[in-house]
Amino acid sequence: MDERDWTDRALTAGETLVLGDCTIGLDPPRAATLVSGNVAAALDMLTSDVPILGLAEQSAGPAFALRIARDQVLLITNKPLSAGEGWYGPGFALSRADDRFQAFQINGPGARDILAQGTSAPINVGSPSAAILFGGVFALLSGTKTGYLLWIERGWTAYLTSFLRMARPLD
Amino acid sequence: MSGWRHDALGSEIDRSQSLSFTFDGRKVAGFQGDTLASALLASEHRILGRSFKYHRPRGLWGFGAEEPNAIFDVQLNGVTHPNQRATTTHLVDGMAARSVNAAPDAARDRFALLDRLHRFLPAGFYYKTFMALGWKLYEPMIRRMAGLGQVDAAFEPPADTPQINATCDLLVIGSGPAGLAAARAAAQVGRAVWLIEDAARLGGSLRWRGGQIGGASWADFATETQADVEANGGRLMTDATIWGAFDHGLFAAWQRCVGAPDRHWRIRPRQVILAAGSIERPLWFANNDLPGVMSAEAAMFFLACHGSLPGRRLLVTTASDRTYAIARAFADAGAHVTVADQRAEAPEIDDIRQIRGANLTEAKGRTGVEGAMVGGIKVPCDTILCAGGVTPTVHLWCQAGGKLDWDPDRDMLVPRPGTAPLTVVGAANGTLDLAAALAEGHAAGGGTGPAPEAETQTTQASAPVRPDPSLPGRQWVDLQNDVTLKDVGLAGREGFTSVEHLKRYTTLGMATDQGRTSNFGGLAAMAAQTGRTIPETGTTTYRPPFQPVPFGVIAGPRRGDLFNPLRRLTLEEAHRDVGARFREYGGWLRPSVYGVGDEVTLAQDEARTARATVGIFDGSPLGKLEVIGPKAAELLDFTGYMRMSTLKPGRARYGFMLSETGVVYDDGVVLRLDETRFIVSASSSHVDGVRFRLEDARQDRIGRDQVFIHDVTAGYVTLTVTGPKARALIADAGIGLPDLPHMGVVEISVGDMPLRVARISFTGDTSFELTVPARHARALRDRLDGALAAQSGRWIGLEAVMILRAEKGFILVGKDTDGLTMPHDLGWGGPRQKRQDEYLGKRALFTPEAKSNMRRQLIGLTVPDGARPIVTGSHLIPRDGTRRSLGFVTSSYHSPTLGHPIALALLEDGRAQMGREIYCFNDGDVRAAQVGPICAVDPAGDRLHG
Repeated sequence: MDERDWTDRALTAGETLVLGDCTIGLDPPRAATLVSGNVAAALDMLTSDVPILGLAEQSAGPAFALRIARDQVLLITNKPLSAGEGWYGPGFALSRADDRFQAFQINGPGARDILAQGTSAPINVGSPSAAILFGGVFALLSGTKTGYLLWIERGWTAYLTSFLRMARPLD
Repeated sequence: MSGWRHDALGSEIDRSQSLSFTFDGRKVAGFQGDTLASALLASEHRILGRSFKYHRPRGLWGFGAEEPNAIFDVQLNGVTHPNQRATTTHLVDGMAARSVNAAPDAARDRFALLDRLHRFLPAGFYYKTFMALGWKLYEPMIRRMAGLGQVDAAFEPPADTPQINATCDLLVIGSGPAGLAAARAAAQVGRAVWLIEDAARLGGSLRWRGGQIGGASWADFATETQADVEANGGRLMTDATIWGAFDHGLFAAWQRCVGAPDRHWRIRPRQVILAAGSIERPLWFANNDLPGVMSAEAAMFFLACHGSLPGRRLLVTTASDRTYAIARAFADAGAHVTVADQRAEAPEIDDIRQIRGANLTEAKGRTGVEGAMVGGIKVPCDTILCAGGVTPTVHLWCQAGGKLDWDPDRDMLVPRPGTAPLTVVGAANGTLDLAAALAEGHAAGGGTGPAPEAETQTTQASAPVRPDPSLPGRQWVDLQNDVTLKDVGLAGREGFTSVEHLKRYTTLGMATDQGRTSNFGGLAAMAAQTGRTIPETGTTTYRPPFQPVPFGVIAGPRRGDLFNPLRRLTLEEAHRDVGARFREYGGWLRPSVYGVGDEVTLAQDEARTARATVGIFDGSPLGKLEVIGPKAAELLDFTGYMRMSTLKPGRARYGFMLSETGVVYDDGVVLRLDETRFIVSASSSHVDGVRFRLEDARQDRIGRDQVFIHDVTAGYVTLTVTGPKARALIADAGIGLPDLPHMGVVEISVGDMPLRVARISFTGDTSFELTVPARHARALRDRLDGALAAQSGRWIGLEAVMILRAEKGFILVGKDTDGLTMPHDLGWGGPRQKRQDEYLGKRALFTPEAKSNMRRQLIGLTVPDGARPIVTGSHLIPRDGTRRSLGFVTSSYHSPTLGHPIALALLEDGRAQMGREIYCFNDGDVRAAQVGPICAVDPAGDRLHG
């Protein structure tokens, strides 16, 4: 194809893809902070009772931390934290990541079948880390009451839209 | 003689649904449930194809993926599917099948004359004959004649095959008796079993051999197994082929679907039981390739499942009791059957003529079987059914790393236990007895209690059958590749005694059937010729795919936009709104130019404007790797060529990252925001690579708890304002800039918009990189855009940026450097000479090679006014003497600022050549250029610091 011929586009807010009994839409922007180092100390200081979620795990509340590595989480909160970016004495580092990720809501009984077309991660088995490769790109996967949130870096939103659009519902 | 359809037999066809198709243009009838092969076998068509090399007539041999002869281009609904095996293609009304490698068709192939030249066309003749007179003379002709089916170039298969990842507790491959027993046993103890069957129905050999299991029909046993599997959360797939076993326990399955796209499964099971059955070996006698010579097991399959018989007078030739049931079935179906058993002590069969202790030496006939010579006696027949023994289907076992052992008692290579993480059962394990196969499967599936019962078959020992080179005439070892026993002998005489060499010299075992029916004969013949045993001779390597899989299935949906996806800018739509045209740069889709018209002209205009007034470009893909912690400076000192610990907060410094070999891996600017926080601005395409190198050093050298790396590139948008009016434009945009020196950086706010301003230039002009969180990108963009007109500025694309940076002599790593370029080749020798501490790549900078004065160094090139730019990639050659490459042109543009072409190049000992003339060679064209400094515009830096 002509390298200029990139006509695909990203999902927009409020738009929904329907694949069989699975629906896909964009999750509204949330406040996000990248936390590395002494994660426990960081969460103690920044929030209260925030669960650290592994692969496809659900949170009861709106605030949660998605584990990326042993010493790194993405902290999701309702509003931006007041703490500034940089290094903190207890041994952790903070960076704003509000706009780094775009989350796709993937809901419905067929959600897992759609996810299985993008990742070999054992969603049914779980993992302490929410980080996966989805469609060949870095992603985080958390669960919701109705399905999943798939977090991908913002620059891949158009690609992931096309990728998900090509996925097939399975019977 | 022609085939025919039995009135009553055929358990898998629906005679109430007649289907019609064409073969080589002639109409043929069939039934629902037929394959192309079963329908053609029951028709008058015996010649279904032509052999690959000699264009000999060929008929049906097998009944599955092993079929070497009946290969068709099949057209259905306007789409041509090339090289389909008749045996695995389900018949659909309206299909049009055309034989391959024949003109005009299989029955009347005009290239049949080639067979008369066979004495001049032995194995390997290509390599000898076509050395004379030049390859190009023969190549077009050979290419026209080579190959099998024709690809329809106009047809683009839809990219609609889903690639589905799956895990399962137990994967059972094959649903013959052993596979069914394994799946059922496992399901009954509560395991989730995936049972994968290559054929359209469960049962394997039970489908045509029949049998009672546990006192009931085998079909009941299969139905109950299916119910057990599904009740325990398992999955059952028919028409699905496990086509490859890969590393880390990955199995690939191609599931063929009717009325929906096929599916491609990537299955990672916890345990695998392989019950893939076996394949019948052929027999070797003169003219054993004639139409009408076929596998006895295949004939039995077609008789039982489709009611198709290949002829009326059948000669069944064997050395095993197992074939007797087949002879009996055909006799009962009304065929005239003669059994020729090589064993003198073979048991007697009632009511069937039997010739014992005699070998079949020759098939008679020209385009089909008309008789056979058995023990010197001519036996009238129109069909010869061959049973030359059994080869276990061990492809997946071997792909998974399994080894084979020779079992002389069973005359077969069987899996060596413990050499692959699979359990092999049934015929694939060399266990041909039904009761024993059920017991093996039951045990492998973890069955509790007794195994399903079946009648134990008592048989006399089979006799091993081998090719006999003393027989007259041509004996075919590989039907698909036209390899004869004499070809194997020739290969051996010429020294190709390894089976791998034999394969490549003769092509034995290649192509769609992958030697399923030929490999054993080939290796047995080679073993006999070289005086080795079969295990000493060995087998060729088994590789995926197990059978041909369409590329479209493997590729899945990742074509077009999805093949090599690019990252997209947050402001892509805004750029499109002002006429941006996009290209890929470093994995990102970025504006190349803005506006309509010739791209080169637009880029020149944009660069000219940026030099004259101001331009804005989107630099968002530049890496933003935050390095945070008390040891951040130490990490950057080690991983960088330039020291960053001496950088003051609020300042930026240009630097290189080297590989361990001292070669420049990336360049970029490092910003220091405070004592413990840096931002590494890596090249757009190197962000991940730089991050990994930083991580390596962090984890292995600096320490995991004192410094951390955050890649926040995706969360920010950077718009760069460059040109003499950059400051004025930013002021017009309502952004109050502090007094910022070159390489200064500051974080400010504009309303609620946090803004990082870095005075960094990639163009040679005063430039400000304005970075905001992505959610503020549109606001920043609109502010700047609104101020452009007043300053006579414009948006500029990456092509203009490339021109501007080349004018200034700023490099692009990977374009102006290659895999050998070290920093001192680029004129950055300072740290190499001064730094006493350790840093990545340091030691490699002091090797004899690194210190050579003949290294290629970056230089500038100029050509006279009015000349066209030098072609990028041109070799630099000396004016006199032997022509050799002294280097090459890395970047070349027409400079709108200077009005003449400029170029950057890597030249051997380049800095010593300043002012001298060098020649640029490209595609036969030689041009003169003058070596000069790399900086062509504003070498004093007045514009940069102004």
